[in-house]
Amino acid sequence: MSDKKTQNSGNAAGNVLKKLVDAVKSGSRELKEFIQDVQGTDAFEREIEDAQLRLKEAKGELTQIMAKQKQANRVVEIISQQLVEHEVLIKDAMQTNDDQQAITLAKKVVELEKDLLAQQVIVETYTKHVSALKQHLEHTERALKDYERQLNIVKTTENIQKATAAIKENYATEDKGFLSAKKAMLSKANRQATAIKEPETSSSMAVNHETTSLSDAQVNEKVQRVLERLKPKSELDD
Amino acid sequence: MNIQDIAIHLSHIRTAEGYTFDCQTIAGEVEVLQVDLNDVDGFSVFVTKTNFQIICIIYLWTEAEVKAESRVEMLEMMMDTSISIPLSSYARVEDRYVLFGSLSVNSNMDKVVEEIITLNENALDVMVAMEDFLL
Repeated sequence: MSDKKTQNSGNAAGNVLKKLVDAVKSGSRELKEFIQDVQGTDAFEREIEDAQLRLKEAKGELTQIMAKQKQANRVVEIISQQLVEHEVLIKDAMQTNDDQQAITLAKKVVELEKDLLAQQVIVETYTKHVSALKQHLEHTERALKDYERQLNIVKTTENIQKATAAIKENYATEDKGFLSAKKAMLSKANRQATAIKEPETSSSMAVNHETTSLSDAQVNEKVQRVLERLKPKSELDD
Repeated sequence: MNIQDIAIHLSHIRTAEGYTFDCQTIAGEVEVLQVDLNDVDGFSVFVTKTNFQIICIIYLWTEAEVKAESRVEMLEMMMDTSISIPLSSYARVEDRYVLFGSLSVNSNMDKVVEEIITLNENALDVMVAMEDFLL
């Protein structure tokens, strides 16, 4: 196992997938116990909460250091600018043979250079600090993702077990094939066999319809019977 | 996105290919949605959700439906071909072999629809392809 893997599995809950493999090997009872155990210890939730807290703290610290780094950078820029300006002034003083002014300005330049060096050291320190904090942040993010991934393994195992139980409970019989595509295929084959018979039934119905249709003579006869039936009584009496 | 959102969406849409869905919620310790494709010879897809993923499952067959003499060959075949099946993989839940696809909970509805249709198409292919291993 690589160092990286060992490191990843080095949290309180250990390698969940390995535990799952052992539980599956041992049987369904152990699998249920595995889910309960991992859930029961709350190790993951605690690890995740801790990691989230560390992450929040580290981000706060990073923001502060980055602000200080920016401030120090600005000071360096200002000093650098002042140095350029003083050097221009020294050149001007030397051109006008104002030695006194040139010496005063040169002293100021020496001072500025000293300040610049000190500020550059500060910037460098902040830069190193920011880099270390960012690295720490990345490690924490990675650890958090890893805890969440491992928690996902347990939650998914639990969810699928419970979902299957719910489906099984909902369909006491498997006749309709909800829990078996194999059975669904069989019932589909049966449906297709019935479907083939259907046109025959329809055509035989058509034949029956034809046989029950009446000839003109028959219709006339029936019409006469209806008229007969509905004749006013007085006419019948006549 | 929760199971109800998926049910409402699926009940109202008609895909570009003309698929429509019939949804039924199954009550239990966890929420499960049964999705059937209307007017298509397909299988029931069961959709469930965890904090991290949406899982769509079709129950294929049970251990009892496998020819004992072909079981190892069937398992090897499943391992060998699983990666080729688009968006779906094999698994076993207790004694039931399943075909499933999982999505991030952040997936949009189009992805869920795509998953359900693809899973159904894959399951039909799987049933035909694996027929010889089954009783």
